[in-house]
Amino acid sequence: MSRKLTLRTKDSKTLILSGMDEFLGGLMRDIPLLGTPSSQSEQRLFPDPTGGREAEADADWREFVRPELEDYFAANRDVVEEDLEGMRESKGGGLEVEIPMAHLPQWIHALNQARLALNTKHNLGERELEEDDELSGEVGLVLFHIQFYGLLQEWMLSLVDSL
Amino acid sequence: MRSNFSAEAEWRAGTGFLLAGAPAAEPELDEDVELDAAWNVIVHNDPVNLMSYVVKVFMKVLGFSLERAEKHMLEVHQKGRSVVWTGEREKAELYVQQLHSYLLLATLEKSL
Repeated sequence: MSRKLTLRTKDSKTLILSGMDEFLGGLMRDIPLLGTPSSQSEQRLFPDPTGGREAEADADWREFVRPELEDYFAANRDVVEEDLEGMRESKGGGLEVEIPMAHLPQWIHALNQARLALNTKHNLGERELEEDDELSGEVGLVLFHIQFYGLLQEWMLSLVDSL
Repeated sequence: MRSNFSAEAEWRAGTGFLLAGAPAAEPELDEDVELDAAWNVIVHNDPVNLMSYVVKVFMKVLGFSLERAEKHMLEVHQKGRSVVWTGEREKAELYVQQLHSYLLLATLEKSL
């Protein structure tokens, strides 16, 4: 990657993420889609509160609490999807997207959903996630994907006082 | 929110993202945890959730100070789980729901 990925303030209310090539732009557009619950990710996104020890309590949770969580997660992804619709070519080359400061909590949540879903799908453990030398093949691509989202999440976390 | 921010990163194969300019989180003092009841809220280790994210979630949901949030985050990371709150079941369920809304792996267990 010859272009530098940059997140900077445009003004007091807006950030600009720039320096993305088409590949990174594609990963950005994947954020809302990846976070959408699937048969593979739903157990991680909606874990049972007693871990199976109390079947009735877990069933009640799935009936009454899970829908609220689904709505909340979807609302976060919707905000990100709307911001991503504004992705454009920047004057200096590459792609850029404006992110309102007020949307940072939703971005942080949506990035987390996407990272967790990716990891669940590819079943990576702590060892693989901390491995920097094995970057070839599919595992390398998935690691890059998760780390790219993690980088954005770290930057955004450093900008918010509270989630 | 910060009024000015700029950070850059460059991807290097075999190294990962090279960072510059990531500011540290600011401390906050707020501790109010009940200790004398029957249900534990447990947070379990997850290899994906960022440490800085877990700390911020503990501060937000449980009202922990930065120091206390970091202590519990490290306990989760190193021991696989941490009891982050103990008290009545109804409130424990509320905390678990809030922690799930931040995608932390949390469960409630009867305190021994």
